[in-house]
Amino acid sequence: MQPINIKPTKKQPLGRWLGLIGLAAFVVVFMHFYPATAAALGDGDINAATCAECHEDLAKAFKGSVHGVIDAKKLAGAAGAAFSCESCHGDLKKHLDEPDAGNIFAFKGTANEASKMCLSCHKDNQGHYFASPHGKASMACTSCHAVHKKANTHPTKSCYSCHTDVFARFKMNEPHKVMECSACHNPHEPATRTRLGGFKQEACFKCHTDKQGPYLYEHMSLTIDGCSACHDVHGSPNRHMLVDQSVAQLCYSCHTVVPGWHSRFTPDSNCVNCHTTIHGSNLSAKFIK
Amino acid sequence: MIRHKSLFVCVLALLVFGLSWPAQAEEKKDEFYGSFMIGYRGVDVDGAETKYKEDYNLYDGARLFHFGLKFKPAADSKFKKFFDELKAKVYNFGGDPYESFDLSVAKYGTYKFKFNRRKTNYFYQDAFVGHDFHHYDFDRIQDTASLRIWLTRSTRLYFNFDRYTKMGHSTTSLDISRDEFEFEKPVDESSKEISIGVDLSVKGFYLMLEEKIQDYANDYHYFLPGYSLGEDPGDMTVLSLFNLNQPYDFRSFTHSARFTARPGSNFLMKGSARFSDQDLRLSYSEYQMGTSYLGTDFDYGWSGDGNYDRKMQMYDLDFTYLISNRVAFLGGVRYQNLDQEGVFNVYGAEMEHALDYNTLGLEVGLQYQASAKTGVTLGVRHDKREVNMMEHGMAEQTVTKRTGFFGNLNLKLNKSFKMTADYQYGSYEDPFTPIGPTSSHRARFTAKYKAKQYYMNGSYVYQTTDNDIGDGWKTERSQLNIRTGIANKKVKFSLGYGLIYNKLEGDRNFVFYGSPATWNILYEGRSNLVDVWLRVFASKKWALGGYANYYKNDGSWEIERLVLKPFVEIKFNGGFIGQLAYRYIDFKENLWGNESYTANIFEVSFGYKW
Repeated sequence: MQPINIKPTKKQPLGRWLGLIGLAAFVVVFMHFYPATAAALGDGDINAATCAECHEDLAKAFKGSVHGVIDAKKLAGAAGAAFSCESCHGDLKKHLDEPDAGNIFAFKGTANEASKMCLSCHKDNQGHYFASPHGKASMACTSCHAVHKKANTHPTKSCYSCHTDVFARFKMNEPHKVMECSACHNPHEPATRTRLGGFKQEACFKCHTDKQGPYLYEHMSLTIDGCSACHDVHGSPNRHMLVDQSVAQLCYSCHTVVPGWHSRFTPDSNCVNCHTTIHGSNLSAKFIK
Repeated sequence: MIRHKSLFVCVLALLVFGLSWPAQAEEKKDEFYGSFMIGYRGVDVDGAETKYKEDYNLYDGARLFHFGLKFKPAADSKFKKFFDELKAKVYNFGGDPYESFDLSVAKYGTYKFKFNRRKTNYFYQDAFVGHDFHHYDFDRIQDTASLRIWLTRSTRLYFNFDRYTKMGHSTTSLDISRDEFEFEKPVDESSKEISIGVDLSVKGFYLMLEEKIQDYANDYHYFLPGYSLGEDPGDMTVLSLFNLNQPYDFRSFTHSARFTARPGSNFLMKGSARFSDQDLRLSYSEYQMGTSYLGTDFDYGWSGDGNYDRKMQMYDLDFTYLISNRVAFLGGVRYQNLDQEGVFNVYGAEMEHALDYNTLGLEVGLQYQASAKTGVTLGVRHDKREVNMMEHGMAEQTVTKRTGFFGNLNLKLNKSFKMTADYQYGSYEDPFTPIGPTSSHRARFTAKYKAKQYYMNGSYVYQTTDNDIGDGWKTERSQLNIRTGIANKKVKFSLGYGLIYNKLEGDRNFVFYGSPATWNILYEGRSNLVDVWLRVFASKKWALGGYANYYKNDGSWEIERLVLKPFVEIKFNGGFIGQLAYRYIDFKENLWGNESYTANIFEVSFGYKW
């Protein structure tokens, strides 16, 4: 009997493309009716050169920062005010009359006060910040972001100073070979780890797409409880980053109802030598193939 | 491949000299920085070379270790109308397991373009022959591009493109007629994802809309490379021919919307909605021919096809209300639903599968920031998940509930010393799978001290999960990490220590051939990690240093690893740099000794910095 090999054909639904065209049309119409948003908080009369007379080092460092190189015209407010020190530090007139730290918004108050100021502009993807574990831990934006300095620090280095426990796991023998924390995590978003099951493995399926299914026979611990049910995702001493080097022990942690002849197996046995399609199968409810 | 890499290096060289020429002509007003290091690596491995290949995979040969350039044209430069900044970076070019290339070009407030290409090699081969049949050796090439355009000051358009391919080979095994056989399984996967989105800011309101399309294809197929007697050549089972094809592909569409609203400066609300629709089609054919364990010949063939539809919906709404600058009320609601169904026609029958689960979660909390130095957050969570599954014609439904508590404490005693503490607790009713816990606790403490050039930080994590249903199980994890160091113009030094303890235990009661048996499941791992890093700038021209790392895991899986890496760096006149480095790796696997190896890696490199 000759094997039959049928290549699936791809659908080309028209509705999806119409959706994209509709989105583009919405953008054009929206732009026509809504004016630009004022990003600046000060009136722009006082510029960086004024502040540099006393804060020379800061002004010099600021010039090389992301905020410093932004073209003022591009980010001018509706009133025509330029982007300057006042944009973040508020009205500087009182401080110029009496140069005291108490006469200016110096980001020395609570974390929420400081973050509020940043979020007045950065309300896009970072608008969820207060709900994130970092926001709940009363960490201001300035805990990780250096506003005046050139952004030389690699994002992963910012994570390192607090999350030393996670970085230690990357030094184990079987680390997750990913280059940056941001490949899987968004530090401005609520954590998926604290959620009850489901969807937290989405980050894993971005690269490990072959494991996501759907399958006729799902391995429900993966589908419902997530990849971390069996894998230590940052690093492990065990092969394949499993939580147990003994595959048999790991499987028997859940699967206590097995055929009698399985009594010949020991903790050194490797269940996946027979149960090969352990992430899900279309052909075998026992994940044999 | 070599021709492509040579062409790539030529393009980089043209970029460097092309940009530097007008920079020099314009009296060096442009900012043009860069550096590169090229060299040679020599490697000598003794012992389990497969384990070395899995862990490091560094081999002999010439390398472009690093190349980077950054160009910022001056205000009157002819490049200024096209871009404000151009950056390019290359790492490990020439055959290392990780090669990467980054390019970014930006005109501030107008556009920003980024491109990244990364090639990674993955290898696995169990050195204990017969223990684990699985092997893989494949390359993953990933391309990521993003373009962000500022249409107006308040409107941005963005395009993202992600693509990866996995190509190589692997092996897998199957049990056929009570014997195990090893099969060749080529790795051939590809994924493409395109998204287009727009974000709009109006006073107090932000909206983002995105459309994403993903195409994925997997040429899933494995075959017997030749006539095989199986793992046990003494038995009757023999396989002459085996071929299984199950190629599949899917297309998914994801529609997302996200908004942030600030009706007042003290009230922040954020919500998002995401809908995803995935259609997967697959075909199947299998053919096998051989002799069974009873000595009878067999010759089977099957074919079929299937299709699956998976829909996901995710909604979330979070809000923060600042009662004052010191007190905030937080809350959130989340709802997720996954609905999938599929039909697979095989073995002359139509097999159906349906799964539907949804989760509703609520969270409320209060945050009190007494001052810039102290912040406390306390809150509660409640989630409910309902799973409905239909498989083998049987329906199953489970409702799982979790009630949890969370607390965070943040203390900044002074400018130099900071501490945090957080605790989370969850209690679960009726977990869906045996791996699901019935209770979980997690406590974490961190402390950071920094004074001028000296720093010290530490953390302690303690986590337990329990399942008290039936035989039950328990896991325990505790981890202590301490690091100290100095960083100044002359010396950079860092010393770290980590102690990680993992434990999983439970008694499992089985019935084998009518007789009860108990398996005391116990996994324990005690890891000690020590690392030290030193760089001394002996003079303006000389820098020397090294890195040492020692890792030992005791308990159920005993391994040890020592890495030593001294180096010397010399700066010559005119911006030239030379570096000499040596790395020694000693890995010991103490249970069977099959995976132990030592490696000596020499690197000599030469570069230039401008």
